[in-house]
Amino acid sequence: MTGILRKLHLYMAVPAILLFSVFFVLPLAQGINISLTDWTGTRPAYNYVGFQNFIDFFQDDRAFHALKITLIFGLISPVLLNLFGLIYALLMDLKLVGRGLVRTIIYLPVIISPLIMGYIFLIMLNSNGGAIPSILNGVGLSSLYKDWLASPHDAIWVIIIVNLFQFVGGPMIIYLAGLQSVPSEVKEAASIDGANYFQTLWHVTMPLLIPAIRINVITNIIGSLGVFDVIVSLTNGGPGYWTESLSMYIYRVSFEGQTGYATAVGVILFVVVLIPVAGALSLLKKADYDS
Amino acid sequence: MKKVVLYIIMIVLALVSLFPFYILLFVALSPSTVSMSAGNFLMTEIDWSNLLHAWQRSKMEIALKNSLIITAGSLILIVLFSAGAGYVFARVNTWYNKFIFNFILFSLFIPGIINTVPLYSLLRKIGGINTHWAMICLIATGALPFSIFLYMNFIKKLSREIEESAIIDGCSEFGAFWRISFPLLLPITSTVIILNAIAAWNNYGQAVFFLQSQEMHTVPLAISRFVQSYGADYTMMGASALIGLIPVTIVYLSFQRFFVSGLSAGAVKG
Amino acid sequence: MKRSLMLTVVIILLVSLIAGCGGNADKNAAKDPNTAGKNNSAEAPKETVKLTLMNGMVEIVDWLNEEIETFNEQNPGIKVQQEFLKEGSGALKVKIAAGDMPDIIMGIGVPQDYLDQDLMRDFANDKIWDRLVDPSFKQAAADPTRPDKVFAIPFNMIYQGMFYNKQVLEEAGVTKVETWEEFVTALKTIKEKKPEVAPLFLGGKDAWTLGQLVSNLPLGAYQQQYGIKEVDKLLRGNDPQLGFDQPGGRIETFAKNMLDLKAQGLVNENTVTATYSDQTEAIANGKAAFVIQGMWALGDMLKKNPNASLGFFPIPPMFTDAKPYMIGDRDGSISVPAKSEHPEEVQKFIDFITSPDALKGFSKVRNSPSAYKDAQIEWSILSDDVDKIKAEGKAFIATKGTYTPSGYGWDQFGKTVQDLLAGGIKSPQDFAKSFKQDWEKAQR
Repeated sequence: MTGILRKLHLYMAVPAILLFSVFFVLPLAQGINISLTDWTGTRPAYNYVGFQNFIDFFQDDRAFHALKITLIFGLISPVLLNLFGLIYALLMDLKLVGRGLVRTIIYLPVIISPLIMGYIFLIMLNSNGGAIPSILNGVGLSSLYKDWLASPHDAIWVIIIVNLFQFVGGPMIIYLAGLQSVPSEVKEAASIDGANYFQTLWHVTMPLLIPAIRINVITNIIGSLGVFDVIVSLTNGGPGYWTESLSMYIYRVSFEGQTGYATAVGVILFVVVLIPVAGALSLLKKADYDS
Repeated sequence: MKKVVLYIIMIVLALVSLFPFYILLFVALSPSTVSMSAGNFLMTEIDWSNLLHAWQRSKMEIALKNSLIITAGSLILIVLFSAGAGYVFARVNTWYNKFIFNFILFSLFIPGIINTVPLYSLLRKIGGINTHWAMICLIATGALPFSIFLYMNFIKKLSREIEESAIIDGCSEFGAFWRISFPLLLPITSTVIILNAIAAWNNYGQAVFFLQSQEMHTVPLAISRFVQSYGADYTMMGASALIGLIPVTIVYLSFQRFFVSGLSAGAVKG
Repeated sequence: MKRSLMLTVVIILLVSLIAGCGGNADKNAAKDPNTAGKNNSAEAPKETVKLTLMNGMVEIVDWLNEEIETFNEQNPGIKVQQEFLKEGSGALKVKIAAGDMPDIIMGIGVPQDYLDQDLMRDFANDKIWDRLVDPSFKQAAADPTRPDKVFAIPFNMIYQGMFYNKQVLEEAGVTKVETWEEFVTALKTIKEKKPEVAPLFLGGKDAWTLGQLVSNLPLGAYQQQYGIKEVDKLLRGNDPQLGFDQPGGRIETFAKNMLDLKAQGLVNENTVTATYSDQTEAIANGKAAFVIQGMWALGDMLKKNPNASLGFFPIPPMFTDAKPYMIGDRDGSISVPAKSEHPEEVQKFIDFITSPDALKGFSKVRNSPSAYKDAQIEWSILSDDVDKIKAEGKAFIATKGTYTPSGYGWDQFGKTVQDLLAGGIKSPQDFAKSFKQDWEKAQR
């Protein structure tokens, strides 16, 4: 008995692995199987169509547009999230009074479900007396206001901004953690050598932040490329299909009788996610070596 | 002088972040006949009965109970499994461990949508639809990759000496980890708890598929009933959302002081 | 890392091959959904029989809960439990696709595939049809492909038409809107005399309200032209006679008229971001003159303003060769699987929920007339208007909505109209083309 107990620590990963296999790997395998069929989701019968689903994808305009939207959102959002997250973190890192409170507040929007956040912003943007047009009117900037959500090309920006607003707390916290793990002696050494704040930042702090950047970039890209909830509540893919992301496209098409095809598009989404992340990672590795 | 500007920026940021919460309050507590179209959003009338109505109509006590059970259950599984797995991957450096770890991380890239339909069939076969335990397992599974990653990194930095001295004193490695090292993991555990409590509590996409009867509804499902009808009843949605925010806010506020330090040790140092 | 990656991919592929075999058995199981049986198989009469009722209409959840409570009390050996899954939602489709059939279904259209496989009970010979107010309504509830079978019992006959705000019309001096020209003129008059009122209010963010227009205006016109049964066949068969993308055809004209209305400011400015909720509020509070909707909307309108002065007109025809019309359809339905483990208990519930009292309650909740003689009540402030329309005979009253392919319904039409109104689709001709494309795709 003690023999097992002594070896027990080697098996501590087993529960996790089991859970993972049953609830993830198994369905995934079946999902890949489905992606090679033309299953409609309701009729029991289906045929294997091999790669036809993938070919169909590249010929479908709406699918292509969804891909475009996903890429726009999925590449711009992480950049913005990281930029603002970093700036906020730098701000929070300065020893200002009350920064703990402000930090807690800035992170607070993350707690709300994205679906509800979308509805809140919907209410705020309502052209009929929502908070935002009212404020703009009140300060005389009413010409700035436009019913952005009604415009095919502007709506996506609203979504990007709402998403940025809600989730900027995440990267901020990670960058803050990174900043706080930069030893202060290093920074002091740099300032003794005559570097000002920004020089210190760029040459000393940033390279040490690369692990933080890496984490943020990966999680943000993955999260942004899979964006769903916030679009559903703000525009539901509209107007028309102009803001439909790839995840939404998959979801919609899957239940419009093209489950096999939709799953295949899911596989495509996986590749779409993989490429930018791999690209970003290798860029960061380069930066790591260079510094 | 520069400091004043910085303080102003901080205050503005805080106010801006709080503004949507205010709007939520406004929508939730204004009587339902007060409409936004008048252009005002200053809370002049407060109707507390909205909260009562939302509570009753969305059967909030059941939803809260379900959400609590599911969230708590998931957290327990996540913390225990991830810590255990994190230990193995950090300390036991075999090729198969490395492979499994990468495999699990890899799954972060895979869109969850591919799994939904097969998962539904699978769960139906094992009688998991509409149950707490299936939902808990599902959420825990989704949380494993990142949580294991966090634990692994943190554990790598833990000095082995404490564990080794415990082993010399007669503890097994297993015991040494759980009794000695694990309590030291509090910062990263807090992080794992916060991140996953939020995700589990707000889980809608999976809950809507796998929890169908009203008896099993979680808070997001209860709230969404008000926006699913032909016309959205924002007042009720706001009121129920407000109620639903309370537990998760409490968890956040309780654990958040370890949040930054946990991440800094666990995630950020390579 | 590279080696791990390769291994990973290989293993996923291998496992998927293996799981693929398991997958087949799964989908075959979906052929016979009644093997799902998650009820207590209570043969002994002492044990409580549990019946699951799946409801797709969120508006009746509360009413249904009350009815179920009453039923459970009156029938101590039976316990009915309601599950709500929004009609048309992904979750519902997955559930049904996995063969998870409940004992009773209310307010959900069962997929045609299932009906074709005779998985639902046929009510064609049920005694309930004798109680119909209008015997031809039975046809409206019949299965489209095999009209001698009826797989669901309808509850109400609900109409779509045009709501108008009595006060606004009075103040603007508008009385008659029986043709499209009269309608546009009326809109212009209202715009002139009451500039703060939106003549016609569209709740475009909820795409289905726009889709509703497509279903009612151009498709409804086909209904008048060919007759209800005939048009069903034509629409189903995608008959070229219909000329969806014909230049000058009905779809194109619809698009053109919509664009004109928008250009002339005869609709609300925020057509694409206004919601159904905004729509009902606007007309209830006199901020809109006309709204094309179904009678189910009355409840929502009265919630926004209990004193709203509302009337109901038939929809003015967009095309010269038609009469104004109201489109009726069944509202609320109950269907049950053909094979049931507890047929007696299920029947008891069916009898209960179709009893005159229950039907009256449903009629009240939905603000529309019941389809049955013994459940007639004063169902709303519109009842006079509707009776008048029926009596005058000037309108064409359809007893059912037009066919649309499964997967291409109001929500989807609506998105195309959204696109049009938002300026994404540039011309009526493009709209017609897009419509035809989507229609055909959905039919394969």
